[in-house]
Amino acid sequence: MIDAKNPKEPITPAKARCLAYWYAQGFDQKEATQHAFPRNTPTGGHASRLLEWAEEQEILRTSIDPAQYSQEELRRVRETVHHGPCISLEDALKNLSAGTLQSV
Amino acid sequence: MESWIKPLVTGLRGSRLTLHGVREHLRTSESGVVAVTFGATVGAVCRSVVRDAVGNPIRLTSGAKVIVIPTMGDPLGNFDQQRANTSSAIAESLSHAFADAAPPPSLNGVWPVLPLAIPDDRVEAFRDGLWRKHSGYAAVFGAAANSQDALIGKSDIILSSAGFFHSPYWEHYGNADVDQTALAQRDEIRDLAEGDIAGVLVRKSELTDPQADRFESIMRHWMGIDIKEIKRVAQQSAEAGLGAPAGCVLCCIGHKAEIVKHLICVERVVNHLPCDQELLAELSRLVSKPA
Repeated sequence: MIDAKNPKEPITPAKARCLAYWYAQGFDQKEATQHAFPRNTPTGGHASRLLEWAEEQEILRTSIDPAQYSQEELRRVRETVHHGPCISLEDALKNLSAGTLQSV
Repeated sequence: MESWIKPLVTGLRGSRLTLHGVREHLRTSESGVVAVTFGATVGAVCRSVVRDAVGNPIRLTSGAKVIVIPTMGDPLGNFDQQRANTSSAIAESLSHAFADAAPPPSLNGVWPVLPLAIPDDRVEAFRDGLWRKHSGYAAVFGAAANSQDALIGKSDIILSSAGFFHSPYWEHYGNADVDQTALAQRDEIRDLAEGDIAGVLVRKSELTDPQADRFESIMRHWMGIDIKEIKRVAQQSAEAGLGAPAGCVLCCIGHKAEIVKHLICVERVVNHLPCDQELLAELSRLVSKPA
């Protein structure tokens, strides 16, 4: 079982993407961690390593660049890095725009 | 960094994510003609893009040379308070973000609207006699009506914002150079329009015939980008699909959910929406609200 409070917990790419997303929203590391993992918040050390990994992988840069992903991969990445309401809002607005809107 | 810019930039949905997103959108231009509008939000975003590009300038994926063009002349409302955020100033600034850019044409000195005292049937004569002789205006909008050389017709990205007459600079649809007594005042504009995109008023769907005539008259006097151009850019981007030029990129923050939703869902002129959490939350509430 994953122990998010353990600073030595191995890096989980999905978690790192999720945390990187919130960090990129302009929140500081602590706030971003609380947003990303409200129920089982990692410690500062683990959160730092997740962010370092995300930076190394250029998650912030690649997660929204359609040119670097196949459609399926893009969908998977975006679902990983976005929280639910944002994805559903984007989908709803896309439908309402009859396909004109491509990203929120 | 200017103190008022920081909250705007950090307020946008993820400063780094948004700015990188805007940068990536800009790279997608195929024609190399990028249009920018006016205002504090677009100005702040563009200056941040420029700062981000220092040492790493933007190169288009198409390899084309860039020309950034303004979409209107002097700003609506108080000029002195918006000097840094005129469409021409922002175009000049954004040009520095690109590795290979031509000097942008300037629309400085061009009135945003003609005085309404000029009759509707004389507007085109004024436009031809006054502004089409202006080198910047002729470059952007053509030296003659329907000119094939007009840069605006070649643009495939428009970086814009939207509003609903919230700005303290907008007491009327014009500026100090235009006779204020002859202009449409804020209250009248609110009766006729949902809001604006790039300064272009967005018509309410249900107007009486006299109101519709009045709206048409006001917009005939508008000297900036035509809503048809914004629609063309958005539709071309949407039809071309993934990997196409970004089209209309609407940068918005704050309480603008109503006009933003209208632009997305009714006018269908938005391809990408970099926004802040506040607007995102408002949009969520608005979209989930039963009709």
